[in-house]
Amino acid sequence: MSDITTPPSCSDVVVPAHTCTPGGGGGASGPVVPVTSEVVDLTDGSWTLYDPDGLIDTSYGTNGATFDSGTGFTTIKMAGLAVGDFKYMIAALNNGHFWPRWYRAIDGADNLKTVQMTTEFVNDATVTPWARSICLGVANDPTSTDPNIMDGTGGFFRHGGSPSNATQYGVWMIASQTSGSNLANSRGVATVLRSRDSLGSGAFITSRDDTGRAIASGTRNSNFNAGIGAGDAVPVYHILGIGTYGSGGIVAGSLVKMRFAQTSSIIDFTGA
Amino acid sequence: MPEIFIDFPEPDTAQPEAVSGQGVDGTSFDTEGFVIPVVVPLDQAQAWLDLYDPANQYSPDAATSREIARTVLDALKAIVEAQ
Repeated sequence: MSDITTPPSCSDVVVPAHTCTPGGGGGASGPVVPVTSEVVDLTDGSWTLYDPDGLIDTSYGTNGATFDSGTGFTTIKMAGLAVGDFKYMIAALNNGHFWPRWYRAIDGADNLKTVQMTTEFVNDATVTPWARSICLGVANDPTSTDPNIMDGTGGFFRHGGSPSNATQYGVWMIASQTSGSNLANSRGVATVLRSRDSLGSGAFITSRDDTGRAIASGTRNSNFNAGIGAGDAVPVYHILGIGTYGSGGIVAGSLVKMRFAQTSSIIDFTGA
Repeated sequence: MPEIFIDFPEPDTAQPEAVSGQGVDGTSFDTEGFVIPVVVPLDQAQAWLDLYDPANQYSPDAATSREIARTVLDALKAIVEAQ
């Protein structure tokens, strides 16, 4: 892991443990902690870019990204890729994970805690599409190029690059994904659950803009316990990655413009 | 004949999904399709395996093959017709 010299200032909302007090016939409702999502800003100083093969144009904005605080949209500029490879695909196992990613620590989280992360992706379709994939989630080692050491799970997006292709929103598990694919897709919500050294599983819902109603839902299981070691606790990190849809290249100057939002909870079930 | 189940109670809600993954032999795939969960009861898994010889290209026999195929295809038919 590369050093993080500046402590990240996470603005995540962490849901504290609470006890459930049963109501006594008066119709008292159970405890609920309303959560406000964080709109992700890669330029806020909490994120570190790891880009082993230089796919991000770091002369653009702050380390390759700009953030519009009015709309919440992030724009990322690509440096280009002459020859594609499976290693730049977020949802492929072959040749490792060499796609660029931003990462930051999650305060108080480790692989043994119960960590639940919910993300929302909204794509800006006015930007010229290219065959891209995107993830926002949790990883044990975000700077590893080995998918089974990175151990990442989270929300997922991809698009084939042609205006006739449907956008796909779903969940990413290590080096695989399941998503809803529909031309009417406007956004996707996903939740991943990890606990006790398991990478757990995820669920997603896609929805449309005109009615605001859901189009599809689905799930994916990681089928994977990280196996770091009995009793060992290691920190886990937020990760936001940009990759290719397939094994093709990237035209220099290509943009990603999306609104990313997330909440992360470290849940303590021992406090009851 | 052992049993298998399809866990899909609401075929009219089915939507195609884009799936990128790896098979049990490690082969990667990337496709759009219908994910149909097949459940093999734990106490019948060995009975199924007893009917199968991977070294014999004609295994399993027709009756066994038909049992599995019809269960999966009935589910696929319900899903596709509900689209």
